[in-house]
Amino acid sequence: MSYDYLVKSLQKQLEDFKSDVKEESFGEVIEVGDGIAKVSGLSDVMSSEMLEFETSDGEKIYGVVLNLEEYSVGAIIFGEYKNLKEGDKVRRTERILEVPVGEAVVGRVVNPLGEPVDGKGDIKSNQFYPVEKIAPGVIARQSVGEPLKTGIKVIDSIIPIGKGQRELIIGDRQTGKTALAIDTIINQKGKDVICIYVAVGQKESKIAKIVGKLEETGAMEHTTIVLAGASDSASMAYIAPYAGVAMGEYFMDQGKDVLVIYDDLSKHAVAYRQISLLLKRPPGREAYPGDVFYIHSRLLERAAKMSEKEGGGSLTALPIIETQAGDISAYIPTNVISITDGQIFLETDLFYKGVRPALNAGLSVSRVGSAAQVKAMKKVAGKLKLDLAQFRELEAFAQFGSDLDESTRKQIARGTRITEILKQGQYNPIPQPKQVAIIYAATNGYLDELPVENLDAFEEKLFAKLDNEAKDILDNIEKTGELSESDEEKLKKLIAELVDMEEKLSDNKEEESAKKEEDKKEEDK
Amino acid sequence: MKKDQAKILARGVYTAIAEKGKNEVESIVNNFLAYLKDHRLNFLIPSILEELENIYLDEKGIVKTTVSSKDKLAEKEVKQISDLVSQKSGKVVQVKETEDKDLIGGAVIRYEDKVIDLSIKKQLKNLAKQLAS
Repeated sequence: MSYDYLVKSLQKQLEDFKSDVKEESFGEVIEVGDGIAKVSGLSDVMSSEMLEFETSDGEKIYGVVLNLEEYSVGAIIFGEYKNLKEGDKVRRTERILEVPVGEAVVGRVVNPLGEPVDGKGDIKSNQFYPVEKIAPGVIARQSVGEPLKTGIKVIDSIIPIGKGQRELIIGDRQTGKTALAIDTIINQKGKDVICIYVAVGQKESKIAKIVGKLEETGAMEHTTIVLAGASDSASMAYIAPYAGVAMGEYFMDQGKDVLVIYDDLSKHAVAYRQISLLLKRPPGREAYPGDVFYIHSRLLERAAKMSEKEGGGSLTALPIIETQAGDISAYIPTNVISITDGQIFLETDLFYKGVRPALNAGLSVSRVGSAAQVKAMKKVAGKLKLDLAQFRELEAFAQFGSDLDESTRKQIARGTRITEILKQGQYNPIPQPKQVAIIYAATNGYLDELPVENLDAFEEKLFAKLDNEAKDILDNIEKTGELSESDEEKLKKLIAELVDMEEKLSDNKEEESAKKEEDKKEEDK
Repeated sequence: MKKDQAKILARGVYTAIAEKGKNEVESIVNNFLAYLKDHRLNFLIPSILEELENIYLDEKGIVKTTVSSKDKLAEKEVKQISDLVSQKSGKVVQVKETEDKDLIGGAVIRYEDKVIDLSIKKQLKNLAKQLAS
C-alpha cells in the first residue's frame, strides 16, 4: 500500500464525513444495586429500550429499561456494574436489545449478548434479531406433524416429540435431565436440525464438559451454546433464554428446523425474582413477581411449526425444570407444565434402581407428539404402552412370585423385559429403525423366555446382526417410515434365530456349570 | 429514593403555599419544617430547596439552560442558542454559561434532560468511530 493511496483514501473518508448533530436525551444514575440501576431524567425513554451507561473512566455498559416510574427509570445492567457510580451519565440508544444471528453463531459458545466466550475470535454477523419478539400468530402456524427424533428409545416410543412442540423435562437434581437434552442434540447430527443449548445459571465446569462431549461426537457443528454462568449477573440469566430463541428464530424463518433447550427455567425464574425484588415490584407466591407466568409463556409460545407459506420451518422447545424433592406442585413447575405440550418426568427412585433414563412412564405425557410418530413406530409402540400400563398395576404383586397364576406371571415377565430394553446408556442415541426392531421383539414376546440380565447383550447382538445381514430392513423403515409385511417376516425370522441361539448358549452354560459342580463333588469325595 | 422523596415533598409544599397570604405561608413553612424534624428528614432540605426552584421555574415556563464552551461566547451566539432552545422547548430560556477547556471548540447545550453536543471533541469522536468501522 503506497503512501499516496493511504492519503487519498483518508481524504475520501474525510470528505464523506458528515457530522450530524442530534438532540440527545441523557439521564443520571441515582442508585445502583445488584445488576440494576435507577436513572433520573430520560423522560422520553421507552420500555425495554437499550440504555448506554458511561462510567467515569469512559467505559461503556449497556442496560435495558424495565420500569418506568414517575421520577425515575429502573433498568437492568449487563456486564460489570461495579464500576458504575451515582451521577454517571446515561444515554438513550433508541434501539431494542438485539443479538447477532446467522451461520456465524453456529458452533460457538456465546454470552446472552451474543459476544463469544469460547476464545475462537469475533462473530462476524451483520444480521441482528431483537431479543423480545411477539410469537408467530395462528395464521402463520400449522399443527405439529413431523417427528423430532431424540434417539432415546423410551421417549421416541411412548412420549414422541414433534417438530414445533414444547416438551418439558422435569425432575430432581441428578436425575439425568441435562443428559437427555445432550443425547437429543447428539442425535440431531446429520439430520439438518440446528440446536441451541441455553445454559441459565449453570456451573461453567459443567458447560465445559458438555462442549467437550459435543465436540467429541461432532455435534458441536450444528449447535450454539448460550451461556449465562452461575457467576454472571441475574440480568444475564434473565435474558439468556430470549437471546437463545432469537438465534433460533432466524433459522426458523429460513425454513429450517431448530431445537432450543432451556437448562433450566427454575433458575431463570429465580433470576427474574431477584431483579423484580430489587426493582421493588411487589412479590407474590413464593416471592415471585406477578408476571412470572408470562415471562415463561411468552418465551415458550415462540416455539412453532410454521405453515408452508411461511417457509415451513420449526422451532422445538425443550425447557428443563428442576424440582425440589419431587415436588411438581410447586409454583414454577405447575406454571411450566400448564404452558408446555407435555412433560417428561424423571424420578430419583427409578434412577437409583438402575432404570436410566429414569423416566416415569405413568406421569410423562406428550399431548401432540403422537400425531408426529412414524407408522412403523406407532405400530410397535401401541402394544408397548398397554403392556407397560398393565405391568405397573401388577408390579406390586411381583414379589409373590410363584403364588401367581400363569397369565399374571406372564404379564409381569413381559413388563420387566420391556422395562429392561427401554434402558439406555448416556451419549448413545439409537436410530429409529433399530428402536423399532428391539421394541418389536419385546412386545411380540420373543424375549419372554430369555433371562433379564442377558437382554443388554441380546440387544447388541440384534443390532449387529441387523447391520450385517439385514440392512435393507433398516433402510426401508428409515426411508418409508413403515414396517412392510415382507420386512416384518424377515425381522421375525431374524429375531427368532437369535433367540434360539441365545437359548442354546444359556443351556450349554447351565450344563457346563452343572458338570463343574458334579466334578467338584467327586473331587470332594 | 432520596431524590424521589425530595421531589414529592417539594411538590406538596409548593401546592400548599401557592396563592396564599404572607402570614399563612410562614405558618405552613414552619409546620413543614417541624414535620421534617419529626420525621428526621432534615438532610433532605438542600434537595427540597433545589426542587422548589425547579418547580417554580417549571410553573413560570422558564427552562434553565447550561451552555459549556472552551472560551466565553459572544453575546450574539448566546442569543442564538437561547432562541434555538426556546424554539425547541416552547419556554422562556434562562442561560447559564460555563467554561470547559476539554471541549477543544464549539459548545454543548444542556436543558431539561436533553443535550445538544456541538463541540469539536464530540465531532472528533464521531470521526474516529467512522474511520474505525
